[in-house]
Amino acid sequence: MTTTNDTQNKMTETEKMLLWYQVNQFYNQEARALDEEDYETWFSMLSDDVHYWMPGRESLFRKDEKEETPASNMNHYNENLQSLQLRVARLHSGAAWAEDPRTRHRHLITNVEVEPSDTEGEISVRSNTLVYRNRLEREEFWLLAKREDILRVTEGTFQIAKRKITPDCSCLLSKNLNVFL
Amino acid sequence: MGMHEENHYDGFIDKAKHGLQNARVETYKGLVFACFDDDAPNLEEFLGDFRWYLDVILDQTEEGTEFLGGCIKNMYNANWKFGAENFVGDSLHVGWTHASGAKAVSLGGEVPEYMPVDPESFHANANGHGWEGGTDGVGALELISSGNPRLVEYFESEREKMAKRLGELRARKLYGSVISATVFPNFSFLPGINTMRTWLPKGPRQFELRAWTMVNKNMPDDIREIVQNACAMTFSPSGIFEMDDGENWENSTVSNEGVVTRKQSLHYGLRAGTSHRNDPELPGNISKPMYSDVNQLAFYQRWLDYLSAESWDDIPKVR
Repeated sequence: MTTTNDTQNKMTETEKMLLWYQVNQFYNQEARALDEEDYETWFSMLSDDVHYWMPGRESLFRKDEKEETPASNMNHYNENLQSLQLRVARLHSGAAWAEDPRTRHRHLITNVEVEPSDTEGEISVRSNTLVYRNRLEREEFWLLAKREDILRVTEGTFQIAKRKITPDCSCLLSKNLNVFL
Repeated sequence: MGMHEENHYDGFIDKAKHGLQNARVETYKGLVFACFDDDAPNLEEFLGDFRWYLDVILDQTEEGTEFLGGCIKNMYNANWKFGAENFVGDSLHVGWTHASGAKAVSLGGEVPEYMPVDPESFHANANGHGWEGGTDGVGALELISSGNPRLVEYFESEREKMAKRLGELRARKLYGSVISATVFPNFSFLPGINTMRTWLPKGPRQFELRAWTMVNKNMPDDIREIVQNACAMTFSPSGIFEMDDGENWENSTVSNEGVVTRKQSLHYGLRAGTSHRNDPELPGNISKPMYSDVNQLAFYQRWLDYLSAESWDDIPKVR
């Protein structure tokens, strides 16, 4: 962990390990829900006020880099729960040709770092994700990204209240982004 | 121009012969075009009658337009002309290809006629540039609103001012309808949805799509936000409409390479020969209604003009 704060200082090493284990279990379950297109389960893992954000990235000179906000740049995703549900409704419409035959997804989540937050009932988590997609005979796409989450601790499990996904690619090397990360 | 340890090149280089090629740059209402050929026609002549259509998106306000920050880029394993052709005239793909997106944005309700089969809907082309779509004035705005009335309300309140600049037809009937357009050869846009893009060829079987979102400079922040999110939701790599287009473009490229397919010509004859230049209101070559191959044929005619010409004199100035 990179920072310490009051909450963290009060936690024992064992408590930190337990929290890390629980977050990992949560992410593995989420990855499985996404792999299996079980969006009902996925939506139940998001808070009602979730902000799900994936900015587009550009190759800029270091001097031109600046802090990005959802309004400052074009985004791949800048979603709330309703708009995520709308996207999934396309998939379930029976007419999403790019999804039939289905895309075979695989989400690998690694480098999980848990930081207890000063906000009661919330933790912030960093992770990396590698999303593999395979479709038809030989279509294959790899996507790597950093994820920064705010998780809300609720009744022994978590809900994702905020997620920022920062992809490592500037030009997306695929014809679409038909996957959540 | 200088270079490192330049004195070693004394007597070995004539720098005048190795300069950078100059790009001719001209602008049209905020859009910048560059060209490497000094003999090419000027931009106004190149755009010709199509300027009247470009003004629908470029000249709504005194303040003009701007791009939102950033550019979304992605790759397709397809020939770039499928994208350009799709936007220049393919009204017919919408009902089938985008059935999934249309169902989704209708939020489970009955899917409204975003593109009504209106006898006044049309194909317009000029010099290989093309515009296809309806005249209801609201289809595109409703499509990207997902039930939020704010965007339509905003544009309704702007229409009177717009009409002073563009006239009633363009301000009330064209802007806001579901329309797609291509500036020959590889620059396309969707008025109302406000995505602007170029199809950059990377060889015959691959292209890069670069997409920007255009807004009027005087648009309030909440309208900008709606437009920005709507582009990501509809026409972008993650967009619920464009996702299914990519499937078409890639598979069209692959299927058309087949030995058997290449022996059989495709039918590009819908309303062929019906366009005329004497519409009382619309400039360019016009054919109605929009379900038509007229613009696609004009686009490929222009492509043929360019590819078969020995010099600019062989290319008709007006098509």
